[in-house]
Amino acid sequence: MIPRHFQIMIALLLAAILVSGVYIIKLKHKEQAKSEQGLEERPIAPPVAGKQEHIQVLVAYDEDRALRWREASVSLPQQRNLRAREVLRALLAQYLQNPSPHPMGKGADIRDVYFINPETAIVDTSPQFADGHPSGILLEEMTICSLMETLNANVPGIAQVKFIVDGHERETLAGHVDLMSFYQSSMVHDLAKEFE
Amino acid sequence: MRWTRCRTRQAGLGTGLLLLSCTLLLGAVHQQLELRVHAQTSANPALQPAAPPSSAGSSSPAAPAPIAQFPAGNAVRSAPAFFVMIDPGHGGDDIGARLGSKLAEKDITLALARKIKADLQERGIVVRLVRDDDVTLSLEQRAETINQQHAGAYVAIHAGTPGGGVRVYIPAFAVNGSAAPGRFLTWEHAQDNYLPRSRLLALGIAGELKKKNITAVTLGTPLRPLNNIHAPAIAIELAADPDNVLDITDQKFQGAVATAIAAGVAQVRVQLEGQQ
Repeated sequence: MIPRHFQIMIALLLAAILVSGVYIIKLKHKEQAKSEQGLEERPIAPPVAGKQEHIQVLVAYDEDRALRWREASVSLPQQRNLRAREVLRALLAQYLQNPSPHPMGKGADIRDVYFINPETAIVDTSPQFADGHPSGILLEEMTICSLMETLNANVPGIAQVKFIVDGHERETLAGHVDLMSFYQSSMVHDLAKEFE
Repeated sequence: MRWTRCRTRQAGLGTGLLLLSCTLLLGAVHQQLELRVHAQTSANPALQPAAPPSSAGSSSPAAPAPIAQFPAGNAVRSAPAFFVMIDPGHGGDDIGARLGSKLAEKDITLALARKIKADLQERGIVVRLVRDDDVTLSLEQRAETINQQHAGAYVAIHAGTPGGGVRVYIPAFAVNGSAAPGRFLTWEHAQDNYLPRSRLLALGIAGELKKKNITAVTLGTPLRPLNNIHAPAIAIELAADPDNVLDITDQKFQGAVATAIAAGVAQVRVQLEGQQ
């Protein structure tokens, strides 16, 4: 015969396991729903290392179909690829605020920037950057121009850039503008002039 | 032994002569073939890139669908000297931009494309629509079709916010004259030698739009698949004010835009044909 206090202890332990299980499942569902809805909040906090710098970002303004230079203050690390990523994040921060001059989907982010040689950068964006981007030739073009021009203004020596989404190639940004090609900095510079 | 050596020498000489003759003969045949292929390439745009290279883009979610307008087999042979391909953007699963709560870009592009077709036909210009129904077509399928048909001009139709009026787009990153005539072109550079004609077409249409008091701006764009088109290629975007998106569904407005586009094409047709 099992003693009564031992029975109670086992019952309490089983109840605790059950409650923990339910709690874990709930947490999992919550996280899944959060990522599916693109509610992932991008960390706005500065990187661990790096001094505060004033940089120029080319911001798209949908209302008057224009690109304008604005100043932003960000902490920039010395490493070139990290610097490139933070510069682009500073630009996206402008678009993610409310109200936004050029709205983007929540969770739009630059995951990483890779240099395959000193002149060629690969910009890896979050899935929400493309999935949540408003569709339209002009809107997509303004995004590409503002990203490229901001990158070139703050990270010298980049001749061409390719954008990928979540580590993979994608045909277009949101149904219109080409993401398969490498964008030449000089050509995008000419294109951006049309909006200034 | 001596006889054997002699025989071997003779055989070796014979074999050598035979090999030499074969090489010369093959060389001559190869040269002839090369000349013929080169002549055909120069004269026939069919040898320019019609199909895309296999890429990540080809794995786009768009399901393959038949293109209603084209009889696949004899289309090239029966194609008229000059005809315009109108491409209503998106379609099927791909709705394009959402304009307001009810409007989808794919419906507006098809409606406008049909109007342009009617207007061009009135002017005696042969027109084909890339899609005349709500079907899903990938961007590469569209470009492939247009290149195979050897269109005289390609006009992609789109609609989007913000703004008002019409935006006329020219391929942005084509490099004029980068490809020598008659040479194979890469998929991304198919448009290169057509850039001046694409610009001519865009300016002609923008001019006609302005004559009808429709706000029109001409811009460069990296819109896909303009750079893959082996013909004068432009894109038209009906620009909708986000607060009044229904304005672009106005029949009068669409009719005026369609007429201006048709007039623009008709105006530059001779120049486009002359250089075709």
